[in-house]
Amino acid sequence: MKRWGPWALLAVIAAVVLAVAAWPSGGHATIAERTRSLASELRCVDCEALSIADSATPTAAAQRADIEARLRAGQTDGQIRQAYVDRYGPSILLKPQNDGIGILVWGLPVAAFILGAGGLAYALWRWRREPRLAATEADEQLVAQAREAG
Amino acid sequence: MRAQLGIFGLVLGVVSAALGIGTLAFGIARHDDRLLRVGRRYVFALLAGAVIAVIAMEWALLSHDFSLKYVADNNARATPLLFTVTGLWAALEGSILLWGLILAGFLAATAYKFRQRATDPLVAWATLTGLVVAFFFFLLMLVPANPFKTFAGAVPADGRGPNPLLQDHPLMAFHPPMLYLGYVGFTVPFSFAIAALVTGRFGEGWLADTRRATLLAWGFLTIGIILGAWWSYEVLGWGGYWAWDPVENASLLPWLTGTAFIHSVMVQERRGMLRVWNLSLVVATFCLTILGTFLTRSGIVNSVHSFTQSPIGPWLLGFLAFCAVVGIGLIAWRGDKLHAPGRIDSPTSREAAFLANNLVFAGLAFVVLLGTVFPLIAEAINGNQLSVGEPYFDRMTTPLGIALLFLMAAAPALPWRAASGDVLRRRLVVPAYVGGASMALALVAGARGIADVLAFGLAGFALAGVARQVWIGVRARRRAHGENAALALQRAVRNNPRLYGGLLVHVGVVVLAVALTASQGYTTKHEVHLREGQSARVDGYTLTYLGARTENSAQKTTTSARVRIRKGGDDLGVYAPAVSSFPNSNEGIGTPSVRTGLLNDVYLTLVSSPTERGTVTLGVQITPFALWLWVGGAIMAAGTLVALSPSIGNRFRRVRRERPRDLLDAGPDGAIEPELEVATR
Amino acid sequence: MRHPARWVAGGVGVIVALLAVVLAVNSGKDPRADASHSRLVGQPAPAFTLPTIDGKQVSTASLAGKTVVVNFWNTWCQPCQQELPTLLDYWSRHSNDPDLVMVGIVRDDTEGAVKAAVSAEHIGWTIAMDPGAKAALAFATRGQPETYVIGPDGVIAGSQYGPLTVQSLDAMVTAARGRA
Repeated sequence: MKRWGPWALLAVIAAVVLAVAAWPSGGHATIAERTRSLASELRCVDCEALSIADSATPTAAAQRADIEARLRAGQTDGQIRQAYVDRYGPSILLKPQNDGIGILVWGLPVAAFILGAGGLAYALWRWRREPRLAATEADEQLVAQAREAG
Repeated sequence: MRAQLGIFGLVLGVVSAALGIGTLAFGIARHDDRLLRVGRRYVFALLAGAVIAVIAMEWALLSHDFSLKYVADNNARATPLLFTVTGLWAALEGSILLWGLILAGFLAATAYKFRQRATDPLVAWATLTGLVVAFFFFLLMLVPANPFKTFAGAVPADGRGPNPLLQDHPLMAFHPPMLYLGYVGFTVPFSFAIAALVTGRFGEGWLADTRRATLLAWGFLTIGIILGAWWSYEVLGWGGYWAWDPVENASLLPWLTGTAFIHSVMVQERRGMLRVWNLSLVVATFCLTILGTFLTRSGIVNSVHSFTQSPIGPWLLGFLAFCAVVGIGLIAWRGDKLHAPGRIDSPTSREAAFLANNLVFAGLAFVVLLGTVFPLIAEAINGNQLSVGEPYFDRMTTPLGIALLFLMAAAPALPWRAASGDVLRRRLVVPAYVGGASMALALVAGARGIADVLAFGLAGFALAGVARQVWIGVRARRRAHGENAALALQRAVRNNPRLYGGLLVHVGVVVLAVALTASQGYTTKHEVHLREGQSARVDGYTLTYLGARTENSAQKTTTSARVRIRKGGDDLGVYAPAVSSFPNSNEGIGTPSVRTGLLNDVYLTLVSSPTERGTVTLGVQITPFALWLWVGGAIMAAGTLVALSPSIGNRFRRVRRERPRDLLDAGPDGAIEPELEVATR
Repeated sequence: MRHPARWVAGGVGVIVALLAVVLAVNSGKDPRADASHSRLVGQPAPAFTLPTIDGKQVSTASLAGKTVVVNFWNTWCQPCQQELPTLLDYWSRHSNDPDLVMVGIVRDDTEGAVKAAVSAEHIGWTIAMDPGAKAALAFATRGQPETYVIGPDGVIAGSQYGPLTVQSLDAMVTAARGRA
């Protein structure tokens, strides 16, 4: 038990720290935070690969103002996303949706990783279980012959 | 004149490559040593052709020879000297020329290095493969992407000048060449891998032959990617350094597989295992460099790099398919013979950690590749237009990144072959506590969220682990030789540059990881509207708008807003974000002004020029730890240099390695005796 | 047992082949092709009130009952310069038509540059600035040049992303007038 003592203590400290870190900061997110979070999920239409939150173009600024206005008017995140999809098409979402074909892009890497990890674990297990190469009959005979000869 | 010289250089290159391929092929088929010796000389003729073509292009650029279309499109009389020289790689055709030059250079260096082994079939096949790649790229320049096309009729009086973004910052001189040195460098291990497969000599020989080249290519690619991120930050002005843009991803993919390869190579060196995997990694890395070029140059994806669409796409795709087919075919054909008898003894061994490392890197590469091409796949399947952007990549790569940090922390303490729980516990307990302290420190400093705090903790864990390794190595030398600490460290590094170079690279990665976590999650953005003389307070900084200024030069017209930054009572200086317009377009190109501090960067952009009333709108972004991104990259580069340096023991004698030896052998009390002799070539 | 390398290589080969097919199919297509189809076609046109460069105002109210060609452009985008001759030609043929209005809305540019371009190119139709990019947002524009044709009933009859040709503009306006 003494060997694990320091590690158990460390585990406790780490768990406490992580719990505090994960504790949601009090209160709802402000309008500004929600605007930023939504804007970072929507693609800026006249940039390349940037989100509305990151882009400096006047259109992006107008879109941020529009999102903020909609949030103040009480629309939910989902409604705002849908409004933008209605206007610009699904390619405006930077985070592919979970339904339809989008599920492939989320699921395939997870599946591949699990497959790979499983394969690795299996290989490690098999390597441990396989006995060391044992001498076969033919090998023993060869050694016996060599002994007799020399 | 210059165009003809350039075409001559290209033709010389193509013909040399073709002749070299033919001669070597015949030499190999007939076991004719003389043909093999002659065949390799064509590599030098190839280099001559490339050099002539590049000289012709630079001459045309420097003399503003607008009879060449390329010069007219990418250069103007007003273009400053630096950007005239870098005009060589300012657009597609010229950048292929740069690729050709670097490829010829690498091939010539390899041919020279292996000159004593010119009749070795492995070397011959490797040279042949390299020449095939070179033939393709020079053919590319002669047919679809000719940089020396001239105007049929009137020659324009002045050129258009380079794209404004490409004449804004001296980084233009470094980012593309470094990136290309990395990309092209991977041709060398690829050609040796193909040679190993074809000749059936897939033991460790080809690995040892190409170790330095691989590490060099990896180092350049790392620097190229970091410089690209720096460019994005300093030049593009959106305040970030990585947008998961398809072309950025394209440069990251070969880096991911290349890093996996560098680690799994060590398992093959020591245990003879993972032969198939390593060969596949090398083939994949090379194919990914071609895929990267294809994605960048074919106009198939929206990207900040896609300046031109061009007919080069199908060529690159065809070549990519060819390389993939050859590589996969060879591996399938040789499949049976590649089976190695090795095994891994224990899941808590360094070999197992390297396997886990490879799994994570393969996972990262898969995620990045899938995310990048998924819009194309979705459209091909059911016509849906989808985007895959930062939120996806962030969410998918964060857990993998944390797993990597953990592996980096734990693996150096794991011995080869197997570890007992006692040894591990004793080795890891102090670094683990340092990690715990780092977590708590991060929490106190304001970090939030499990991923962030965990990342900071693991970073501390990893750094402490490295420190422990170094301390133990130095202590062993001091006990053995009685040297003082500084001398012991120096000698230890010189005796085992691979180990200490690798540790230094890990330090760089950890610094980078900390900087990434801090800057991604805790950056704040503000906009302030200021009249002249007015101040605003942002996050503890006081910004005073001093006034605007407009400067005209032949190259551009720049409007800048001068802003004084103060923190507390200290004056941090005057910074001037600007907007420039270039004669070839009215589009305003913003230039940010960044005040770099140890802890925070103050990032200023000019959102709107002064209105009639004299108010200006400034974008103010406070980015924590931005400096450490570049410092981390520099440390990685330094570590690569150390790992590349020759081991001192071998400078004066040739040591043939009889069998793979462990770099770290743990003695009974856990003390490490550093390996004194490591054969290098 | 056969070494698994063969099977894995075969599987990887199939995946790579599929990827190559996908890339080949997409090669040559403009990645912005999706932008050419505006989702606002068939919807009522958004209302706007914008200042023109000669100090007046243009609003949807003032355009009611007419066929309106709304063209988003600016002075620095090259396709905009490409389509300018088409617009000038169209204007010269239809400027006397009381039922047709052409409005150019400037996206991402300065008033000074626009005024200079208007006088240099002799642009005769109404040119309006879009402070705050409100109209661009309302029309869900993706860039420039982008053109919307609104029928007399106030519904967007057609749109085009990218430079106009004489045929495409004629076709859209004819279709829009047919909605009267």
